[in-house]
Amino acid sequence: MISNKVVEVNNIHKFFGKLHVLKKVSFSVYEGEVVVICGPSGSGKSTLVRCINGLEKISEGKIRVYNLQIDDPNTKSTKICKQIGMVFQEFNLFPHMTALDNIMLAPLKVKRISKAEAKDIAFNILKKVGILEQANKFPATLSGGQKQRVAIARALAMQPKLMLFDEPTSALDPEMISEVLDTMRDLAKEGMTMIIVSHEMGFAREVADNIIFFDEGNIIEQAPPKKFFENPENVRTKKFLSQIL
Amino acid sequence: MEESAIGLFDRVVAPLGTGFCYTIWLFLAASILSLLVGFFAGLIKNYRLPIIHYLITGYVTIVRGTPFLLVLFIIYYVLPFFNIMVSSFAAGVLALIIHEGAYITEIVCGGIESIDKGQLEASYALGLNYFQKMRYVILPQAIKIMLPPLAGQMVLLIKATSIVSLIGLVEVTRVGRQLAQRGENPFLVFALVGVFYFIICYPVIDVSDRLERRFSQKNND
Repeated sequence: MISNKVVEVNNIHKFFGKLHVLKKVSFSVYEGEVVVICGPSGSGKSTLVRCINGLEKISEGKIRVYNLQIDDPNTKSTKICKQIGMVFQEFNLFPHMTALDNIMLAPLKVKRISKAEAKDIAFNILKKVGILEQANKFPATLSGGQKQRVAIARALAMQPKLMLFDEPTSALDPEMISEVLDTMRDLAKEGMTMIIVSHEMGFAREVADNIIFFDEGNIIEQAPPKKFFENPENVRTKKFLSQIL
Repeated sequence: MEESAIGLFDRVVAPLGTGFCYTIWLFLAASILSLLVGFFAGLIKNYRLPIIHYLITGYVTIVRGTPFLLVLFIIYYVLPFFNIMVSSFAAGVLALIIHEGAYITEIVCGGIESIDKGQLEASYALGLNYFQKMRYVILPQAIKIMLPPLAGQMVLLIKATSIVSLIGLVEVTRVGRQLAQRGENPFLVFALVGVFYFIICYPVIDVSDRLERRFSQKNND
């Protein structure tokens, strides 16, 4: 059941030079909630999620995740990353390490747990995401879907409270998309709080608690799936949905 | 005049061998130290500490635009004017370190910068600090990229040791010149000098090739 506020984004702005990418964006995410952010390319969706874990520094405003003030320069990135896991569009696996080593690296070096414990966690997560048999393979020998599931497993190994997904299926072949979405669906069922940038509207309709439509650096509309798809209020949202559905 | 192989060995090969040992010694000292200098300067340059970054960039730019011989002469002939006396060996090694260190700095820095930005972002997202990111993620990948140019630079260093003979170091090239001046067959002498250089250069290139193959094989397993 949705309860505590986990993420609070308050009037944030982001500039890249003169380019105003995020314009006074505010929203909240509650514990166990799945929020899907959609919108046209270049609208600032990815920048928004990258600001939430501090990968991009905001120009103005406040972001709080649990008790961490992300915009505070004194907040250590190590602390942030223990709470927030992130999955990238291009997987960003470490190519010189096996799937298992990719997953074990952060628990070993950041959380400083024992190798046996890290291995145990890694095997459990690999089993959960359905690629246990790929544990000792290098990323170059995995399919796109398998790579993304290793990337999800790597983020989960830090046992984060919040998961960010930046277009996790955009770089995949169509037949690989479902295996990644299934994994994310399972995570949602387990009650993981997730913010997902995605164009997968079927997935959003099924899994999201809230959908945010984003355009030109602004939140245009925010609504539960039923209302978002069946009765959108904004003309821009209606146009976007008519183009992609 | 007929001469025995033992006589030829004593007159030509043995002195060249002594000079060769000196060349190896010069190469080992200069390569280890210039690799250390270049590696740390490259890392620091990449870290972009405000003033130090510009100092290292200045050092690299100046050295790359200066002939090695000039660096050598400045150290050997100019430093004594400031009451800094250096032996010809120390001057030779120091000049090689300064010269090669600048090129190695650029190779190291370029190798690190060529790693995909996504690797840095993934490291950040996992909470790795700068040293962990470098140690476990960036350098293992960057070294593969650095290896071929580093091997090339080491070969250039080996060849550059011949130039330090100009300040009196009796390494293999200088011994060869002395033997030729003494009336030994110059074709034979310099052919042997060439063989000696090949003996050091070839393993450097071969080891680099093997390591490169091993790394790429490991990634594709």
